[in-house]
Amino acid sequence: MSNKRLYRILGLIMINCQLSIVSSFAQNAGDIISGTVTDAFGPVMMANVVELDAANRIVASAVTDMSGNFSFQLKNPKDRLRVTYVGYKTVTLPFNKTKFLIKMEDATQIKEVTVTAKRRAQGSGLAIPEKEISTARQSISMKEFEGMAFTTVDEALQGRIAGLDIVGNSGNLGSGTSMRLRGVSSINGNQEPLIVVDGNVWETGNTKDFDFTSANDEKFAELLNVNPEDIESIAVLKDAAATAIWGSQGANGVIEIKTKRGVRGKTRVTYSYRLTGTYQPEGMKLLNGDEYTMMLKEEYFNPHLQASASDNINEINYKSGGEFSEYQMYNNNTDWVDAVKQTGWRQNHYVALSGGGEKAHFRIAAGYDHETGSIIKQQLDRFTTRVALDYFVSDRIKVATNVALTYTDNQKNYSYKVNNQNVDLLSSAYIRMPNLAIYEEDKDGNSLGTYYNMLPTVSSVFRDNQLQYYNPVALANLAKNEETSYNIEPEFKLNYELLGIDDEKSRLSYEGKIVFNIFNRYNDMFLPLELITGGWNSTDANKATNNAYKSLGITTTHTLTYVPQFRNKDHQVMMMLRGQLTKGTSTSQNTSEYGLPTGTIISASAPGIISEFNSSPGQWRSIYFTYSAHYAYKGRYVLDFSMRRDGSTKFGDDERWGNFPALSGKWILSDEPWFQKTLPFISTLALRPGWGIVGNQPLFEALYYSKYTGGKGYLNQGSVYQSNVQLKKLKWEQKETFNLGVDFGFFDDRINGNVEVYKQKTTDLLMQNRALPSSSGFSSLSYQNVGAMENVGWEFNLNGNRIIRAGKFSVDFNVTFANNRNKLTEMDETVLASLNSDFNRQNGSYLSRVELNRPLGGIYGFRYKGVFQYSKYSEVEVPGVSGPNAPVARDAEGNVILDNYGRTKPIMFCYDGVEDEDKEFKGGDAIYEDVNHDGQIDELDIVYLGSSLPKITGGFGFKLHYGRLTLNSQFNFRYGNKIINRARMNAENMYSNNNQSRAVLWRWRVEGDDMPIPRALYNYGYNWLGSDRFVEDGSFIRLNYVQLSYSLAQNSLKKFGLQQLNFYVSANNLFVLTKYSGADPEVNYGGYGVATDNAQTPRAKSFTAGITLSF
Amino acid sequence: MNTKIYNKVKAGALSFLLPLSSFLLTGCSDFLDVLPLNDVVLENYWTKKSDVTSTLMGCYESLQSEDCITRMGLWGEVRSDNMKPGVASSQDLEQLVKENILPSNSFCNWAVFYQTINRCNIVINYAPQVQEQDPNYALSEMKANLAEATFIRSLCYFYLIRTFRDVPFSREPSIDDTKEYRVPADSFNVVLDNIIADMEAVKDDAQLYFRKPNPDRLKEDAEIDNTARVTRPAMYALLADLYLWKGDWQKCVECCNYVIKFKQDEYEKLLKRRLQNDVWIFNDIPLLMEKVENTSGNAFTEIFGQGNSFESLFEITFDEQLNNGNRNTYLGNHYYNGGSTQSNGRLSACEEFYEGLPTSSTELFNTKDCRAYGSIYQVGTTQFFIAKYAANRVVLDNSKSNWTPSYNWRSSNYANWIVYRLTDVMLMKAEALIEQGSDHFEEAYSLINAVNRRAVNAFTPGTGEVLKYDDYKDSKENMEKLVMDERHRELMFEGKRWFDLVRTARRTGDTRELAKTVTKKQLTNISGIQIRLADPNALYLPYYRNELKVNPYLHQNPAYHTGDDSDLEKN
Repeated sequence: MSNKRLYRILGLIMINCQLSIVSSFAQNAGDIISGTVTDAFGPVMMANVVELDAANRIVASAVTDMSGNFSFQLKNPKDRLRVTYVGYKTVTLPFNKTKFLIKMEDATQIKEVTVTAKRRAQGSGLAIPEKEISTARQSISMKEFEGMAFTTVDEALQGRIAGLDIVGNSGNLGSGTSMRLRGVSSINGNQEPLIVVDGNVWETGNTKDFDFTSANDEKFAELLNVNPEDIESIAVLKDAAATAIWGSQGANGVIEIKTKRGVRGKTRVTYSYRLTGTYQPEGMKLLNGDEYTMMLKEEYFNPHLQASASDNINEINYKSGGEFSEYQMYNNNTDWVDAVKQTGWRQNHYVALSGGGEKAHFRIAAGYDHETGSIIKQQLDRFTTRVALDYFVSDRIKVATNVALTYTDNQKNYSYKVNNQNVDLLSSAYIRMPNLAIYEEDKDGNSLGTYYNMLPTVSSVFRDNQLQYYNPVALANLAKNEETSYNIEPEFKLNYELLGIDDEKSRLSYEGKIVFNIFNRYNDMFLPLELITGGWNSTDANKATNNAYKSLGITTTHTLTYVPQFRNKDHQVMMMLRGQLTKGTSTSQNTSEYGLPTGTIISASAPGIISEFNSSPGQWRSIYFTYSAHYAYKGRYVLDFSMRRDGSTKFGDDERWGNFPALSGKWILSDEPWFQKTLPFISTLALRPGWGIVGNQPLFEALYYSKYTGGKGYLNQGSVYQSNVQLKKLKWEQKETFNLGVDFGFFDDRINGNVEVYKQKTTDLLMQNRALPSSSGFSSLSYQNVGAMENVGWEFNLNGNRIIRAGKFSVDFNVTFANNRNKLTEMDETVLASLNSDFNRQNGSYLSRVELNRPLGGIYGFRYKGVFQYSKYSEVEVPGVSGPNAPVARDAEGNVILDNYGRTKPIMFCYDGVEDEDKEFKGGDAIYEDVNHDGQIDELDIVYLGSSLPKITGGFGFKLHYGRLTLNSQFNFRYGNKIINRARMNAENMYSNNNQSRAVLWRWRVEGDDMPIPRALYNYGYNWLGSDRFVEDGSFIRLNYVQLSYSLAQNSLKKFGLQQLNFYVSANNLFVLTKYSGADPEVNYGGYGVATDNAQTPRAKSFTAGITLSF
Repeated sequence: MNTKIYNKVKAGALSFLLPLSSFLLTGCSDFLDVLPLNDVVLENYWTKKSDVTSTLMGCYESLQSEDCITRMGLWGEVRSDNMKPGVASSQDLEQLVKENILPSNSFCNWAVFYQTINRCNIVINYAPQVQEQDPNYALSEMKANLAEATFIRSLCYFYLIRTFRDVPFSREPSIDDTKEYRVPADSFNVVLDNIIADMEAVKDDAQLYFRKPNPDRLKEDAEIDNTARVTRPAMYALLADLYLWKGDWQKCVECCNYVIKFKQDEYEKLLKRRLQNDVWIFNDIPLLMEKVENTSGNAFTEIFGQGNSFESLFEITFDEQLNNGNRNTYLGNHYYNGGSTQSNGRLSACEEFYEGLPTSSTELFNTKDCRAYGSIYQVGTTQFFIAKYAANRVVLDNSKSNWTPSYNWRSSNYANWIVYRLTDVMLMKAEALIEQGSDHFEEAYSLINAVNRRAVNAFTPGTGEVLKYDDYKDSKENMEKLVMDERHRELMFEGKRWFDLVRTARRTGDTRELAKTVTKKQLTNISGIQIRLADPNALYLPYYRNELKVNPYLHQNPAYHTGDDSDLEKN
């Protein structure tokens, strides 16, 4: 560096390379070539002198000594000599002599260089110039997110991609998000878009019982393996023409992630650090111990107005003075939710080294995250590293390798099931009786410091519910649930330019790639005896579970790209052919033991009583071929074609191969000569029609075999039975998409954007577990093609680049919104009938209906109209005795129906001819609209209450710049969807022994009360039937993040040898504007089910401070 | 696009791609054949004898499953006058007992019977082709296997028609998704005729013994092998039952004769020496004695406690020694809650059969009828538990004038489920004889009396007998009542009573008697139930709701028609 500066100060003059003119004669291989390298100041030391062959491969080399001399043995006289030195122009000469005298020229003296290059699509298909892309595709450079506190990419994408709806699953560490691109287009297949990292699909196989509609941890793991800091850009491919090269894998859209690679130049080191504090938002407020016991007493009293109903329940009667030994443990006001919440901290360290010379580029990056949850005892450690090396064997041959490793250690809370429901810390804190103590107390109420568990001798009413839940604080501290995973993904790649590297000539390049994906995951769980209320012989006492899963996938890909050149430069053609072969195997093992000798042995390998021991192997294979071609005429008429042929192991011989074509075009109107003259302010206007078909395959292997499985046997003989119906007719689900896009840009593209309109038709819908008449001997077919579905929608995306500029101040913005409507257009009646549930007459259940020409996700239930004030009817209110608001049948005009004797008719629930007091509504019970005015509340009164699918989803953001200060904010929103707030339902039903929300203080208690909430009834009545009382509008606007960043000026950094120094502070999830009363209106929705909020841990709020520096 | 250019390009591209694609395409199809790792596939199965026997065991195993055995027990018993709800009954069970049956009741789900039928169909379909391939698989063995499968299939259909009347009938195995599975129901008589024809065709193919008893050895239990699987006498027992329902009395008697003759011969030729302390000849028929030395209850202990007794013809056998996890959960859940002390199951007995014993006789049981004590266990004054199968031993002390039974309760659910036993067949024959007219009354009475004499320990004809021929011989009605009562006493809680009532009602075409009998146990809504049962359709269960949803050709039993079912029928 000092040399270079010296030269610049002296103001050097260009000196021509002086060559002694010697008569040229042929040199021979083996001759010694020698010479001297000098510059204006004398000999150049350490200059590179090499012999290059025709393919620019280095065949011999030397380095100049202190006096600038070099020598080496010539390999081939046809080769060339090249001399390079940092800061000088490269000199290339033919071998026409044996002694060279070379004078180097300063490279910095070049006055002007014009580099013309087109920005090209950074994806795994053809490198089409961005302008000529004719498919629905939206990409984002990660530069936009620099300094953001994201753990995974999906958080960053939220609200940025039109038509991509991302919903956080829960606030637990490592629980991920679920994504829907352009709505739901399949019934119960996987609906998550495909994630492709550097052209590689993350495949680890899946076990048979993996439920794609609810679980997203796997997807999350996939994203967790990519550190957002390693990402260079993300492209979202939306329509069939764009995803065509991914065939059936990309049927739900594709998210292509490209990671950073090394760049030629000086080694650069970047370090960044972020510190984030997270906390749980205020959830539902709960009853304290006193209010809870009061409510419970009412619950027991109300059903039969029995004063003594709760007399024997010691736990709620505050029996002091030795009457009840556990008195001190049941006289508290414990806030269980507060006891399990905390402030979580997250630290992210990230270091990257990148650089490279002429022969090789490299980038080495490593990140370490340490995170504690906003729920106690959750901890996540993650180490990621990614090494990218590019080695240029010659100009035409490049070898590249990319090795990524991720290690994750997630210490979760122990999760268990009660009545087949998963219970986590927070959910059990919400329902645990608040008069119960966390720690055991002595007779005077002093804490003994040991966790208190309910005794098995607890009153019988608590045995099946409260007793089943572990003390959440004790569970967090004593039990163990650790998940560690390793993912190693080495990639080796060879690029070979078969026809040279001259851009002016036809080019043919080959790329061969092999990727290994090694994934291991271990789950270790331990539940100590201290937590168990069932004693030593309980099957949960000192229970250890070890689960190991390992998989290895190998993918080889061969790609040939051909770019012919024509004499007429108006024609441009590119084409690509690719073949890929994937195979992989996996095994999982699960061991569970209980009754381990002491709580210090926590491994299932120790001798104990084995309760579970199984293993399951898996394997997967696939082949595909893709051909795609791109043609552009005059750079403004574009035509793209692609064809994919997918080979699947999941279909029988006849249906094994699926062909998926796509065709798209683009007309760039704004490049027409007439256009620029007439509408100069429109800088871009292009039309993009597209069409394509993609396929979808079932999730499981070996469906087309008739399988024989071993049974338990009879007597002393083993048994075998045919376990499935062989699927001979099963074929690919096909999704045909028409897409019309318009790209536009105004004022030199300072404002730009696009609009997409699409229509997707899914035919031969794959349905899992299609019910069969059981007279066949089987209850279901594992899959069948059953019908058709249609999705219609539009997307709008607008970006503004420095639209307001005033001095140092400028503003950027982005807006996206999208809408998707789906409906079922074709389905066999019997399939519909088997999908649709009957009204089960139970509290809390909503009907789900799948109907033709209706969207999925409709919510059906009763209409809630408040609470009956009185049990007895009278036309005029008699305070405390009777009134007009009483449960009597009324006709359509609202008049009370009277019989011959002038008696009123009670409102009954599902009257079936048997007089039953249980079925009569009373004062304090919920009023449901009697739609058909028959005096009965039954299935005929169920009405449509709304859709769980949003009308519009999207986001918008602003970026304000003032000098080096930037304020960046991003919002996302959803509008017009309904959510079943089951969390609130469970917290307001007063039907069980669970703790309830403070809202129930406004409940009906005595005749005449005019209250919004019905009376408390323990296991009785119909006060929480599925009704619109718990169906809420899920519209919201969330401030996803806001960030203030400042980067120091480069001049002032130079003194410290730094190149870049940024500071930033940001806040995530700062506020949500919504009418929704639950913790978080972002609720996941599945295939044909309805959106239900089950009181999952709401997403944590967080504040981050960070620093990035590089030198 | 300029075609010349295009062709040039295409040719160029192809020339480069050929080597690549040929490399990739080699063995593509094989590559995509991924065999399941945990299962055998059809292509590799059905090659040897053991493949047939294993699948045949799969048929038996399906009979053993909780769903199947529970329905066998409940369908044949729960709507009769024998049973009341016990503790912690499920809602579905209570509704069955209260005659408030809806198509959504899970006990109307017949899936497991068709699962068993399909397993049998598969064996019957593939066994002949194995026999051609495997030289070790003799034709006679194959035929015997087919006979077993036919028995199990016919038994399942028999349960189905007795419970639902008209049901879909198929002998075709369900193998792949090209078969039409939505099929209409065939009528009771069509199915019955078909299964009779099936059974007739193979009745003599079944093995007589799986292990021939050795008369020279004093201790041996070959019975477990010969009654846990279907033997020729069991084939005849089922056929007798089928003919009884069909009303072909002559054929029924012939089949019963075969079974009775078989047991007589077996006793004389093979087992006399071994069983001389246990068996007594009652009216020419060897039966296990209740009284051995000073205590009674021996026959109960052998038949129900130990299982696979000398009298047995076919039992679904649960073997505690094998520990393969197969348990009789029906009995475990419904008759008793396993444990060393008896606790009530989901069902309990009706008090009228027992109340007053052992001091005074009830309408059904004589004070000295051992079967009363073996069937019902009185706890305190108001609770009557089911003792049959729940106890593995009943001891009645003959020295006492009033019996106070003492029981050994089964601690785990390994009781067998008896499908046919000798006295059942004897009473079937008696029933068929009575229907043939008064000429046969005496012979019928002799059979009934033999069964009764055993139960009351009347070893010598004329002494200690409870029944008197003169009371019954004058009218067919009396004889019919006698045989029904004897069946009631003998086969209580064995899954027979409701079917006996239905068979009688079908024969007379009048359900009033049945309605009167079964409503005796009801506390409320008695007249409502009687009105409902006046409709003969109401003797059968409705088709399960989910079944109707997926099979549009199935029409709901008119007794259970509701508005929304008719919607489905339109399709």
